[in-house]
Amino acid sequence: MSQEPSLQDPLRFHRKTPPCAVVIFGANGDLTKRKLMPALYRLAWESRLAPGFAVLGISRTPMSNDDFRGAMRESVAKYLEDSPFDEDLWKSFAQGLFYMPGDVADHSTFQRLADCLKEVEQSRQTGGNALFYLSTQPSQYATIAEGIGAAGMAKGNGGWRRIIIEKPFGHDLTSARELNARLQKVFDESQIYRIDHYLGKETVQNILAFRFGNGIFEPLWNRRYIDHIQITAAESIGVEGRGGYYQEAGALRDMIQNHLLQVVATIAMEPSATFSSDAVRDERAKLLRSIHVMKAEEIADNAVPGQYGPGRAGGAQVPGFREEKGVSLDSQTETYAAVTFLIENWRWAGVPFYLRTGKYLPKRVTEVAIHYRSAPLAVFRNEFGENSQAVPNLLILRIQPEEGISLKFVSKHPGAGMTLRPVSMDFNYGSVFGERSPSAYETLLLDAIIGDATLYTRQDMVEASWSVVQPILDYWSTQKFPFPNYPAGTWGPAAADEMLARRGHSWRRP
Amino acid sequence: MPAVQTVKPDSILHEIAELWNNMTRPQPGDAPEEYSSGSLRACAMTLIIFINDEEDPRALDATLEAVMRAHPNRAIVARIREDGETLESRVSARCWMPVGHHREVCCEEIELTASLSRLIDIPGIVSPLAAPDVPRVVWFRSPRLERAPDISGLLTLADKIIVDSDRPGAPTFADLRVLSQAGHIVADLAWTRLTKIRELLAHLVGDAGPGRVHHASIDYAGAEASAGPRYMQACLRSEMPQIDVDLHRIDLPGRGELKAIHMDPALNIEVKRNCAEYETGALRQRANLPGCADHELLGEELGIMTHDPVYERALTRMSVWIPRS
Repeated sequence: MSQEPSLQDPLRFHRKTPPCAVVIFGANGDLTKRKLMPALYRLAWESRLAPGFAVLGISRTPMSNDDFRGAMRESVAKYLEDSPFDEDLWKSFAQGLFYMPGDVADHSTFQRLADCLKEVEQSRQTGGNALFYLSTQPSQYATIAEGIGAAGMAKGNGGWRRIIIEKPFGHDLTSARELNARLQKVFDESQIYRIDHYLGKETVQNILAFRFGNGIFEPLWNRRYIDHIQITAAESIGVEGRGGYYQEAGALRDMIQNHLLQVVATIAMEPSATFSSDAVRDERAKLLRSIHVMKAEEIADNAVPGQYGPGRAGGAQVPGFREEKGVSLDSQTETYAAVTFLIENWRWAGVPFYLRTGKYLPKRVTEVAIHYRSAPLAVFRNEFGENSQAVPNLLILRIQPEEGISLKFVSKHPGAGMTLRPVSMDFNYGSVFGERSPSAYETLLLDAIIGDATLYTRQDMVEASWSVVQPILDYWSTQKFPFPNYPAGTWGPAAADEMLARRGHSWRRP
Repeated sequence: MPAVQTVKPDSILHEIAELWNNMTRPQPGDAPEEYSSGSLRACAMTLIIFINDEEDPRALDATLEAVMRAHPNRAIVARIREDGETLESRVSARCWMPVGHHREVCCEEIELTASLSRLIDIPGIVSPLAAPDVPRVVWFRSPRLERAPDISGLLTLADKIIVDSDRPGAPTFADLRVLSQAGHIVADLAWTRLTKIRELLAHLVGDAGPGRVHHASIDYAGAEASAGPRYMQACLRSEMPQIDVDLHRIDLPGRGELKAIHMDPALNIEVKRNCAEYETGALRQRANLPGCADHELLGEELGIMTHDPVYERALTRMSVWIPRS
């Protein structure tokens, strides 16, 4: 059998992307302007998009194609990071941008959209491939999916159809299940791409490379050697004008239910047999299902909410959460959450995973700190004093900023005597790979166009993480907390420190 | 009679250690945390570069500066002099502060100056200076090596050998083929310059169905085709053996560079300075072709430390190249 000739060069070329139309709902919104369009333009700049690539934007704002192109040009020029803006390339890219004004609450919008999409498919030769991106209010997800289905757009004529939705996937377990059920009436699960931009971060992906690409760490990656793990996602800013939205969400829903539990899954999952999309996601889902679901009586000791009050942050006096615009004066929404999770499997039984996230903490940092058990015998106790067991090895996986990995260990101080001192061995992601990392949206959009769902969350993963968080939400909704309980610019409420102290641990100060 | 100059690798290594001790010694006020200031020593490979002593150092400096950010390396720059009995060394560090970071990253650089007559000593000096456990790459930029009595010792230094057929004095394609067939990993920056255009072509031909293409012609400007169009012809011949591939001189001033690729059925790619314009079906599009500065080409090659079968197949075809026009 003769082989079809090919000019491919896998050593040097990027993965080939098929032609397609990206249909963006909410095309005049912030996410489109700040993230999606700059990411798509950057992909075009790197010649990663197929010649027949097109974007069809929809929103309620009346605009012509040219108006839309003008608005997007302005956004791309403004929000493009680490890349030059090339006017000639933009002209070529903009030929593929189209716009259709429409209200998704109106059924006729979807029929007009179907006609419009057909025209775009013909003029741009997209082969019937379409990616629907829902950059709208979460409450519109199901309506839009059903509108797409009713207009016959969920199945391509010879091409593929996919849909991307942004978090939150529901605001609790029940609504997440309901949303999934409505989406799956229109789309097969394999067509649904639930975006969690944390998974698109290079450094989160690097955790998998670190764990499964090296032989020396995995044998030490279990309860026998690891004492506990701390995952911190600290923000040094407040709600930044999004008080109204945030009041409905809170830190547990906004960060822990999705991003941080996905990081836990990445840190703690078993190695998959292959790096295929479903193999990796099966392992992530399995891990999420292994997290102990707390009973009501366990929650007070293992989950701490916090809300910032007035304080000094970033060198300025800032108001408390309840003084933010759109926030009620007696708001019980948590801007900080710390939770102790336990994973019920052989690898992790008894190892606490401490997660914390918060607004207006002293610095912006996201990191995973793996605290190893101390050496079994304190040979150097005289040099360190009786408390020598207090210097355990620490492996830090820094996700942002200054992405990298540090290993803390003790070393002999030069000179006479056996004086030991903790030192740090650092790997800095940016200094070894100085080239520009693609943004999370570039990675995820490209993956969706190619059809690689590895970095997207699946229905069972979403439901598993809601199952873990739901009892905490339920319990907190019955309590009245003495908020605010931490001043802006500090590391959160004292109760979070006490939560760790009960197990003999303390938070690391990143 | 003046004493013969010698360079001792142990002394150079000692100088490097001293350099680092001085650079990383904590300064008053330095924080002990991992986010503190100070220098981070980075080395992912040894890059050995042979250049002519009189070459403007600024061009190489700029290239090294840029390439080190993507591929931090211990650079050993061997400057080759025509005459004399020179053999000297100098050690320095190249540092930069990555955007948004608090700690500067530094790579060390060793400069050796040697006359052609002392080239024979270079392998013995460079070998112990190469950083252990990381790849060693030799980039031959000096046309003077053409006249060196024996460079086999230099070749043994390398896990990968990089040349540039677009520069004067580069080895012949036959030489490269011999090296490749002897098991060396060989790269030619003249080939690397084609990556983006080859990628574009691969995607366009792939979409059209490669089996449908039955003829291709490659236009070049200038009196004689340079390495680029010739590599492109060799590549098309080796990867699509069923098609005829012609090389055509077009009436434009130039140095033999690739100007356009035409394929039958209709696919035309016009190569411009940093982009390509192409027609396929009813679409006329523009594609960016970044990445032809030396540091970008070198960076691409430093990212590939294995044999490159596509290049090696093209190289094989280059050795039997017969111009048709």
